[in-house]
Amino acid sequence: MSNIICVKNVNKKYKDKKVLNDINFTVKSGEVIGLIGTNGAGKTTLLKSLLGLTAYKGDIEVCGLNPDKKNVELMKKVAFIADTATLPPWITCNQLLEYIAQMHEGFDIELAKSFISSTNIPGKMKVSSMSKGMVTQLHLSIVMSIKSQLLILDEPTLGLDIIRRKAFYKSLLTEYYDENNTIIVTTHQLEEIEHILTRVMFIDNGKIIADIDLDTLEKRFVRVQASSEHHDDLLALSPSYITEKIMGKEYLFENETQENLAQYGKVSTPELSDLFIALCQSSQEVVQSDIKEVTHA
Amino acid sequence: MLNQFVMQYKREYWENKQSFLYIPIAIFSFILGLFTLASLYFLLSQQLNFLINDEVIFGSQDVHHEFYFDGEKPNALQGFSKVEHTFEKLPSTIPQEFPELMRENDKLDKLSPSVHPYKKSIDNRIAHIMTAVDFMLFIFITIPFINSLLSDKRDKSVLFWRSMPVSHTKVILTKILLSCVLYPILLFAAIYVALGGCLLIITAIESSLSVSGSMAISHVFTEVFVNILAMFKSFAFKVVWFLPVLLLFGLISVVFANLGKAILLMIGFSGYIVTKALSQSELLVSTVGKYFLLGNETALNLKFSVIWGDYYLGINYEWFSYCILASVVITGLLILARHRQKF
Repeated sequence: MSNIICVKNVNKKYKDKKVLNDINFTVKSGEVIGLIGTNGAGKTTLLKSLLGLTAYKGDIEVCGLNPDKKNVELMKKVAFIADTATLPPWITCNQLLEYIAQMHEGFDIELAKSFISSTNIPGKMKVSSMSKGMVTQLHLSIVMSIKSQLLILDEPTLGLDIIRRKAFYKSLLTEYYDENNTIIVTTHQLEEIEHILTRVMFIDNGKIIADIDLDTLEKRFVRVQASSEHHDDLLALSPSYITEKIMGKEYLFENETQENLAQYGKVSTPELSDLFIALCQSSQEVVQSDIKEVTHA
Repeated sequence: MLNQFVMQYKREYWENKQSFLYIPIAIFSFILGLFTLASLYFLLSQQLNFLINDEVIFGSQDVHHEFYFDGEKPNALQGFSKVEHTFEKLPSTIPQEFPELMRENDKLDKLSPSVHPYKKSIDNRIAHIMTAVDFMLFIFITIPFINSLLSDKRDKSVLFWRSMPVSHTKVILTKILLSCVLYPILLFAAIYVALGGCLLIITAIESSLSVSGSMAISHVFTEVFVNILAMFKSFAFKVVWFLPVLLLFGLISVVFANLGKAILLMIGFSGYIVTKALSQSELLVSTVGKYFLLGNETALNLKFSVIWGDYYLGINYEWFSYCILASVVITGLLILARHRQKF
């Protein structure tokens, strides 16, 4: 499969703060990627950079185009929802459909209407009169009706209740996705999307701290729940992260086999959310120790 | 391609429905309402004095075709009114039949056109109305134009619009055409129709009160309407001439969009600086100063030439071409600035 996104040495600074720190990755066509990070980690900035909506240093190629220079051409191949984006308040649902049908070649108005008919949004209702959930539903219906090579969703279900969130991810997979689509999604509700992801990228302080193909998750990461008597042995194997538990400790290992670790305690594959917390905290400890070293020096 | 342009206009209409629909209606209602109330007030208080009578009819004829008596009053003209004899002039259609009448030298006539005081009074009023209309139209061009460049950022829908594959050229050209052509025409039409309403009201009142009847007022009616319409060319000239300034304001707004309301202060401040500098620098006086002076003078000349004939200096086409060239360049910069605008 060909690369649909190619990011090389991308950096971005807001005044003195580095919001993107030497980002490198490629995305193949057909992947469904979860971009996970804490607030202010750089997720939105990275997505905006991919679409040429923010300035950056480095090289990015999306759908074979330079987003900084060919932003309009790129938008013909991409569908996008930004976390802070809201639909224009003065527009009605019908006007919005009419506008996009004329402006976006890949927009299927009938499909959009069928999505909207399953909601309770009246056609003549203005966005300013809609609830936050209705606006999100409308926006999602539109984006799902655009035949695009790449779908970028930044916190798409913000404001939706759990039933609608689940329904959205289900229809995303069943009605939208096929092997020619690539989806990048950011969310804080990791557990709700992990079943649809093929790959996950953890971002923290503008740096990608982990890039995990979910097919290899089981082989790559092992979680061991062990009592304190094995602490020194497990410490010798250099765990990525250690969590204090009521009944002993939990150790996270990367590139160790479950067979090797089974002798020390209960082994399992870590959940993505646990893995994210562990890797984030581990990364922050590294940063803190780096700062301390610099200060001492 | 064309459909996209049409849709872009539709989108602007939806967004600025208030400006497109309610402001023209408000202007129309204001002019007509105020005029009706004033007429009723003066009518009821018996202060309504009509200036429109047969003197005006003769006075409003084109000065190029006026004929004058040779000093003697021929018997053939006894049938004419006292007013005609007093002012010693006749409408152009009559004198052909009377050899005793002599025609004034065209050149002399042009140097010092004899204009009836009533006509002059009406003409001045038309010119004043047009100055007010000009000012109003300029306000309604500048504010919506700057506003349309910033509105999507203000209502936070900018990322939605940017996710649409619409070229910046298309967006900017739509906004310029809309603000500088379609919208002023719409407003002008509203004003024009309102003035028509005013004249209909005054015709009705005059017809019922005056002995001269509606025939007298129809001359004035025609003159006012033809002249106001013809004067729109002066406004159109002004729009093209000052388009670079408007576009420059737009460019400043887009480049410094993050400053929000401070942009208006900035534009105002830069205007103040330019005005101050104009009084200090010879170079600025002969360039920027001349540009503003020439623009205003030519617009005024175009206006006067509608009423009093082409005695005034016409358009300076060299400077006019510079204005068009500057507009094209600044539009290009505006498109580029929008493209470079990041979030």
